[in-house]
Amino acid sequence: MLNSWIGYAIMVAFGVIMVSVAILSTRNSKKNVDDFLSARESMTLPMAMGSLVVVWVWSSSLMGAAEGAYNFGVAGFYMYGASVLISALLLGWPIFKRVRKIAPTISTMPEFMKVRIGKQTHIVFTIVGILQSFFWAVLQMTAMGLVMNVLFGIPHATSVMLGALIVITYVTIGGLRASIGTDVVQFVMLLVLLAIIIPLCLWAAGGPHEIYQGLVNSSVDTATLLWTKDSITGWLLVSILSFINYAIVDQSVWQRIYASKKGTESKLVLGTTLAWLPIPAVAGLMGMVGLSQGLNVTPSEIFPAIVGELLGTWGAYAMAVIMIATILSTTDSCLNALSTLIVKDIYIPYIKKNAPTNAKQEMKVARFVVIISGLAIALFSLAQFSILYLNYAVGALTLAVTWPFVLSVFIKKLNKNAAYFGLVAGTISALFFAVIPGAGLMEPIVPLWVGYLISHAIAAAIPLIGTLIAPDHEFQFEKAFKQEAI
Amino acid sequence: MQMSETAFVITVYVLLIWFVVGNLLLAGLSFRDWIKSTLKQPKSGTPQQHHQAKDL
Repeated sequence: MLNSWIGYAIMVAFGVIMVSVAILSTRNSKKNVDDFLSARESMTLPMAMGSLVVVWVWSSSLMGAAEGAYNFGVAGFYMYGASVLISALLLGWPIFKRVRKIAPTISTMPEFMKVRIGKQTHIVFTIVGILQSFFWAVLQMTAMGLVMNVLFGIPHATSVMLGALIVITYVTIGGLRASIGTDVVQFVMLLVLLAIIIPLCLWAAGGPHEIYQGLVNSSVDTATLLWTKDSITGWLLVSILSFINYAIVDQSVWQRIYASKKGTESKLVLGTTLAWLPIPAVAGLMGMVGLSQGLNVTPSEIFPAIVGELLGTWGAYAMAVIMIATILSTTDSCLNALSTLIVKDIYIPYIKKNAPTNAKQEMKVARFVVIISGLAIALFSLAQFSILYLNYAVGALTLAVTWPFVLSVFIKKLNKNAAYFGLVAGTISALFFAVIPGAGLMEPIVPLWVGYLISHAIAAAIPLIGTLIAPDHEFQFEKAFKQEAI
Repeated sequence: MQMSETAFVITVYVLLIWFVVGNLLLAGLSFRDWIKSTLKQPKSGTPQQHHQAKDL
């Protein structure tokens, strides 16, 4: 166990640095709620890309990728990253380009659905978006409590409250500009430390030849096989089917797309994917090092455990900084996304009824929402929910919104009622086949990946069949979004 | 399919180069742009009415 006072000092240092970065990041802000929540077209391509990479790198990208490689061996080079690669190339790239072109004035995905499908679907999308951002933030803060407790012995509640205080402070100061500014600084910290500790760990483990021989002689017989039936059904398919929507359903991603300069969407998505892909792969490599060394730990702890084993105390401190940077960057993005959804999709359309308001008053409301949401996230994180359960629950929640959204972007004659029913039926199916068995609350009727596949098929088939039977009138995208903007 | 020792070694080196060079380059560029944007003189002006986006 490391010295707990150093743990507190690291967190306080993070707080001071992030608040300073937030203050600097807001020097050129426009002092209105749209800039606070959307920072529209204010970020250069490298800034938006760096910010998006750290949004995509969360505790699971490092710990989960290493855990998978520790269980399955060399399949860990590509099985975690494949899901995001497919999601970004097949869905993210064409959708971001098209939506930004036809709806340049929106700030959230539910706003798009409100104009495209209607109020009922808008409400469902808003609720799902809010729950997703909220529980992803809870997931991060719970991980913060775990990491600080395991490494430094700091009580879970203390780390959660301290972490929440830091994030709430800097997001309240600067909104999305602060979130992106701190992301850039956290990205630099994360990368520099990983770029030092990973090669050092490989060297300490004897280099690639020794690691390969360790895998051949390891407890996993199939450690040098690129795929096996178990690794495909137990990891690759579950990962692809649960994260196929990863690039498009997260409000944090949409905010960064709209914060970048118009016309840079392709470079942003492709560049981010290219920069992100080696990160879970090298994290997986650390899981392979753990397996080749015969380290016997809980698989989810293999990444910090192998760094501590090979590099000693300073390696463990470096891991603590990496984990805090990863967790804070994703938490602030979730908090910002959550506040944006509450203000833009609930407060402005349903409480203020779109009435023009004083800019200062609206900024006060936005900041109040950030503080209350942040405190609610911290309070929920104290309950120490199972991280695995939250992961499954949030993934399945967003599963059903994917296909009605994707189809509504590309099919002009999409039947709106069928899209809504696809959304509802897909959500129920995801709960039944994926969330509840995934959480261990009932015996799975079918393997988890089949459960995800059934839910995707239902959510996509109902709108498609409904449209084939009774197509709507052709939807005029440009005209509808221009009218909404007036 | 079995991954040979040579393929493993090549994959490790290619990954490390891709990870270190690609990401440190991006980290450097994004940090440079962030510094530039914070050093830029703030624009003077009054707070604007809401729905700024709708004026675009």
